[in-house]
Amino acid sequence: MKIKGTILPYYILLVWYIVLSLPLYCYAQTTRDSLKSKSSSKSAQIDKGQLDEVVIVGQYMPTTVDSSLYNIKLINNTTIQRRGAVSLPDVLNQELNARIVNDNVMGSTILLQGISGQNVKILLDGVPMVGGAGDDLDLSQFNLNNIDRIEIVQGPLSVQYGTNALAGTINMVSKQLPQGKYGAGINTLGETVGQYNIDAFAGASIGQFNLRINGGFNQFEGYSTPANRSGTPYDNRSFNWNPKEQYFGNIRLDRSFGKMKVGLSHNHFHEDNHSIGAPDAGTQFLTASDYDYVSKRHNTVLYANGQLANHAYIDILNSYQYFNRDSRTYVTNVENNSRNFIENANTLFRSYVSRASYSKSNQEQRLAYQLGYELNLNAVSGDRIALDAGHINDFGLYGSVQVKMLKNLEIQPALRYAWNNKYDTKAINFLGSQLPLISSLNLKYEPLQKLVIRASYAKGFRAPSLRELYYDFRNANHYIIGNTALTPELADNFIVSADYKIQVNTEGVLSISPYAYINDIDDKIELVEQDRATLPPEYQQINVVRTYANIPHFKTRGINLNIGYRHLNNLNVNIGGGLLQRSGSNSLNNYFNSWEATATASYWLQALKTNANIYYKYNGDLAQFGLADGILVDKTLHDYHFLDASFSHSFLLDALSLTAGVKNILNVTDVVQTGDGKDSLAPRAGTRTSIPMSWGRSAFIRLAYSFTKK
Amino acid sequence: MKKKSNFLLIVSFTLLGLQACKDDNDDYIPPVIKGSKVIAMGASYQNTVFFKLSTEKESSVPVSTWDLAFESQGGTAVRSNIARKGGVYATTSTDFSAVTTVPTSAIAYDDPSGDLSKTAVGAWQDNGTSKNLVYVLYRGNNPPSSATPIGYKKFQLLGYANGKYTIRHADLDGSNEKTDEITTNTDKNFTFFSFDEGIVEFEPDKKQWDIAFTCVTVRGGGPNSYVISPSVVSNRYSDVEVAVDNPGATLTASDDPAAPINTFESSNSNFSTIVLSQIGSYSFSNDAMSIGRDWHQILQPHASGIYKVYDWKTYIVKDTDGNYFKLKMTAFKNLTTGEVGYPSFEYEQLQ
Repeated sequence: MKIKGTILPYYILLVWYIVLSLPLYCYAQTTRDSLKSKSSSKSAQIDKGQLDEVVIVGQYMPTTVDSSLYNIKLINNTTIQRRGAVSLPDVLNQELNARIVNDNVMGSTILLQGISGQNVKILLDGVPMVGGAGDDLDLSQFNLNNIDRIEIVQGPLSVQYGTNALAGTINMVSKQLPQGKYGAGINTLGETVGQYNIDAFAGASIGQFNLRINGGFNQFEGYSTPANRSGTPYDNRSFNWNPKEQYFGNIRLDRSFGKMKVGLSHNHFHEDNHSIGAPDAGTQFLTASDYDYVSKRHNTVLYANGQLANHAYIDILNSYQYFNRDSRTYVTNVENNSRNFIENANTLFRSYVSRASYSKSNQEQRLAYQLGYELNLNAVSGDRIALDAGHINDFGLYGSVQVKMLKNLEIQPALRYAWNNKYDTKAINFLGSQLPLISSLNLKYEPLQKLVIRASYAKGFRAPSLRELYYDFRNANHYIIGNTALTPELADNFIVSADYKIQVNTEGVLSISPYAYINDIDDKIELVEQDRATLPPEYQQINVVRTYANIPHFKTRGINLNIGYRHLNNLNVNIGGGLLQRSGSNSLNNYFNSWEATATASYWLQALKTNANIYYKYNGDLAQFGLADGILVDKTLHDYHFLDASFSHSFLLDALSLTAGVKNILNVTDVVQTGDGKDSLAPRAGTRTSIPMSWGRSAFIRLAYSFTKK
Repeated sequence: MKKKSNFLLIVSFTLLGLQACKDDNDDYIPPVIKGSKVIAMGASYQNTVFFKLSTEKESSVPVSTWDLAFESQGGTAVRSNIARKGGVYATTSTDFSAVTTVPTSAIAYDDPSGDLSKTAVGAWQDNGTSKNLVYVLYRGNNPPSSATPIGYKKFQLLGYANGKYTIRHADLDGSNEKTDEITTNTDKNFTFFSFDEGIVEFEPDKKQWDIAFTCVTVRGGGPNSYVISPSVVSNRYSDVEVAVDNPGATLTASDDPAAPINTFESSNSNFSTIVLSQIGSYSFSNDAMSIGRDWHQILQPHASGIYKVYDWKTYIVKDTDGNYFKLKMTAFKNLTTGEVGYPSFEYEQLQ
């Protein structure tokens, strides 16, 4: 499939012409409403800090960041807009302790607190996302057009969310319909690298019913670093950032019953990703192998949540998710670009999730509690997965109690009972009791009014995936099979953090936030070389023999320090630094260090009524280590700096907003990795001399228009 | 989706997308390598293809037709089928019924050079009398590129006399035991034998082929591992000899795409300039692997299946009749399907 890349900008212009001329009549109507909110419009320009913003992930009921027992990092819509962010990796790459690693087949995967993406739970409105090329999700498939905010909790939330919520949980929260009768909007983004995004929404409230529909389209024309093409003679066609088109849509309908909402939401996502091969050395560079990766994700959610009487809160959701990935192979004649379809390899994930929680919490009482269950039914089928893989089913019952010990001390112990059909959950072995219980303990202490100290212990676990259990790839030279004897990865996570605020004169607030964590993971699952002597004789001479095994120990620990300063309502500066250390059985318990730093600043230029923003992140050297014939080898990804800057301005009383900026000002593209190790941070990257980190410097412009009729 | 389609903009954008999509599978026009002959070993290396240079006669025979090959020109060597990773465990036992399991000793494979003193079976006779040793044959994989074993057989070579071999063979558990007499065909270098079919036709008559495209079993990268490797073997048993003109001789073998050997230009080839009068300056070898497998190299990452073909190497082949040809390998993959196992080569008689 070929899309003529040049059509789209004209199309966007056309749409804009229609959009801007059409709602002129609305302008008069919205003026009055906007005037009303004008007094607050300036504060909307300024990111007030996020402490009073609402979060829901892992909470008893929607609460503020400040009063949550967890350390929750919130990325709000303002930040998404200002960064010109299109998909999830675009915002996560700014976070401390988070790295995004890219591959043109596997997509963009995350490394959080030094732990790979399989251990990070990605939720969309509380529903765990499934599916991908490997076990990692491709985060670039999560477009942010309909996302209001992103909640990031580092460390396990395994009591609340079960398996995979070990290194962290990232919850994307969809936009809600603005209060009013109806509203609509359109949002476009163009980026000089060749990325175009257009999306639109419309919504209405009729009686107790709320309806919101949105949809959009994203096109990326592909990017290749010169180094990528220099590897093959005559290569003028391959990309290390594949061209792709994404289509997405969402419909949400709910009805209010007092303080309860009952609703139905359906998401649809479709991606055509074109992997264009380099001319094939095996055919005198006359042909190339091209792949089309076609991904489809549908997710339907039936939900009910809200306040009951007597300070009780209930949150129920049932979801069915379908993820299908076709990998279509073509042989292309590179001279005339005609192509021959060869085969399609398909992977299908299906997931049914049912979860509900009941929470009771009364500010006046010392005791609050939550009870809940979660049922996860998962099926994977596809090439190279053994036929007996079938289903992996998971059930959890969880509960927690919040106790206000003193006026300024809160403690929350929590437990989850876990059951799984594929492995014995007794391996979790709670306190040596052989019981399948996962626990956590959270503590929040406010010795001073301006000082909040949080401490937590949490058990995290990750169940072996169906691929790890049932992978089956054999040919004359390979014998790579899953291991049905795998036990879950188990982690002990400790976090201590503090937030201290100092009033500077009357105009500024300085905040100092140290943060430290330890993850001790037992039985981490890795692909390892298998002893040939254990194989049947006919396989003992095979060249590549691999299987999944639990390696005894893996450890990551780190410290962060964040310092923020806010001056009046026009300056917001944040700087942070962190050190990550990783170690394990496969490093012979040597520690590998990695440094990070971030800086963000936003400044309100009163004269221009414009907000200026700068985002910076330093990612230090990061090693992937492993053992080769018992000797410790590592492959180190060299350091790199990301720097973005943007300006945002609103017109027509905030109805029309314009953001323009430059991403990756320092023009980072491929980042070199050196060393002898074959293990890699990204799947398939072990033998490469560099990993694509970004597509270089790119200017963007974002224009969004929306109106609401009250 | 139905609701979504109500939304005008999305519909129009979807239509744009659909219109922009054009499935152009049907009109594939494969490229052609001019002057090259393409050999179809098959994607799973299921065929051995014999080729006679002077007549361009090609004969393709499935690899999986035979288990053992018996020397038919006076000698008594016995080869096993390394084209499908067949190998031999030699036991020290002469008690046929006592051997019932796969021995724990290392498996042996025939030396791909075709040197008959280096077969896996080895010297089975002592001064013309069989040692009566029991061998366990791993019959290999079918197809060769798979990990699907055909199974095991045990056999004893009881003797050779007057152009006839006597072999006793059975399954490992002793079932299907049989003793066969194999009358050699003196028109051929070897007489081919299958435990299932008896004597089978495999190789053309001895002067009717110069080179064969087939897999051989060689050492792999893992400890004690072996792989099958697509190769061009020469008919050393009928006096075929090969010399190599290698302008990149000083370059170190590597699977790194950026290594000098893998960026060495095709234009370094001497193929077009080599003439008959030069053959005296080349040293010829009767090693069956003189062309062998060093004309292709899989590049990192191996999973991508990219094979570099060193078309700057020129092979000078003296055929079974003493004619000289120059030959270069030009490709390894099928130009229509992209599959491996379709080596192509260009050749010319030296004048």
